[in-house]
Amino acid sequence: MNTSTVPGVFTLSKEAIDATAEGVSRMDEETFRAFYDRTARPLWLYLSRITGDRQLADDLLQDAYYRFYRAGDAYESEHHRRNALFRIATNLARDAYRRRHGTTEAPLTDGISPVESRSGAVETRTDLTRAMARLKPEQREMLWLAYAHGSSHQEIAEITGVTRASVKSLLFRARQQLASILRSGRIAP
Amino acid sequence: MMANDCPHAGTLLESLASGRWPDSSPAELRQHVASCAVCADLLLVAEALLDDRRESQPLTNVRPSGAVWWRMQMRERAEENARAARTVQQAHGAIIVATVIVAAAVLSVTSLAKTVWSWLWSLSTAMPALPDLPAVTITPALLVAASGSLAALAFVALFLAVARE
Repeated sequence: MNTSTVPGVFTLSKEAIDATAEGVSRMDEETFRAFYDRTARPLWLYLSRITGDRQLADDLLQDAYYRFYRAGDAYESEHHRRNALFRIATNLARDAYRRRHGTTEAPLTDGISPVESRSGAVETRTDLTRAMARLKPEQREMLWLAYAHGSSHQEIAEITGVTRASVKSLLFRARQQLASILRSGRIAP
Repeated sequence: MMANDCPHAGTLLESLASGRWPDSSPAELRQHVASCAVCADLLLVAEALLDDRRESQPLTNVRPSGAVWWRMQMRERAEENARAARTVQQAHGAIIVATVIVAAAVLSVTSLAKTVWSWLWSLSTAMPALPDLPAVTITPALLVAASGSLAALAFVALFLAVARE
């Protein structure tokens, strides 16, 4: 899937992809800063939504970029580089979740903090945030990557470490569950 | 695309992502979504997540890239310093342990050599039938020199092993 062809979801231009396609063993400052400027906001949002904790998202963001930089691997393309970054961030979020809850199976029960908005959509987003909090971390990861971030099944598989075949069925179940929670109106205020 | 569980799911998702949904989407697609449970779920979930991302991302505040780069350099330097300090500590520990082992070895060898020499000496005096054997004179100085060489070699070997680490 050519991610640069879906406007509104993908923000990477062809030039940006080509400019950073030549992988080096360790990024120089200019390359890193350009890559960070393109990816930090989507990554922070992803971390914020899967952890439900903005402060934790800040910390994980820093750590993810540091580990990514230290890994120093050369990547075939911007997509691979971005997937690698999201994979590192996902693993860090899982570790943090495990430290806090002892497992990655339980849904979030605390730290839910919707992002402030200029528009009147805060209520809707609060509902979404609370509904997401009722899902398992893996379900939140997949749903966000698939529908907010616009990742393909293959990319989701690379980022989450789940096989591509499993992504489809897990995503289907997660989507059904979230839709059911959003519809049911069982979300506590 | 993301969901192939309904043949129209991919089209619906693209329509959502491109901002064409619902007004600029084909009437057939809108009719289908109204009657398809899978697409209805997809629409509800994808629209909510996509709206969340579109509204939140511009408001997201992250640290400036220059500050992040600087902090990464500081952290990397601190980690390298800590690693170097750990290596030096380990080398010191290894040298102390090696010194103790070599000293013990020298003492043991010296005492064992004395015993062996006494035994060989008594053996040679008890065997007069072998008068043609060349006379070997092991003096204490020779014994100390041999032990010292052994200890020096052990030091060199240990130093090389630690230095390689």
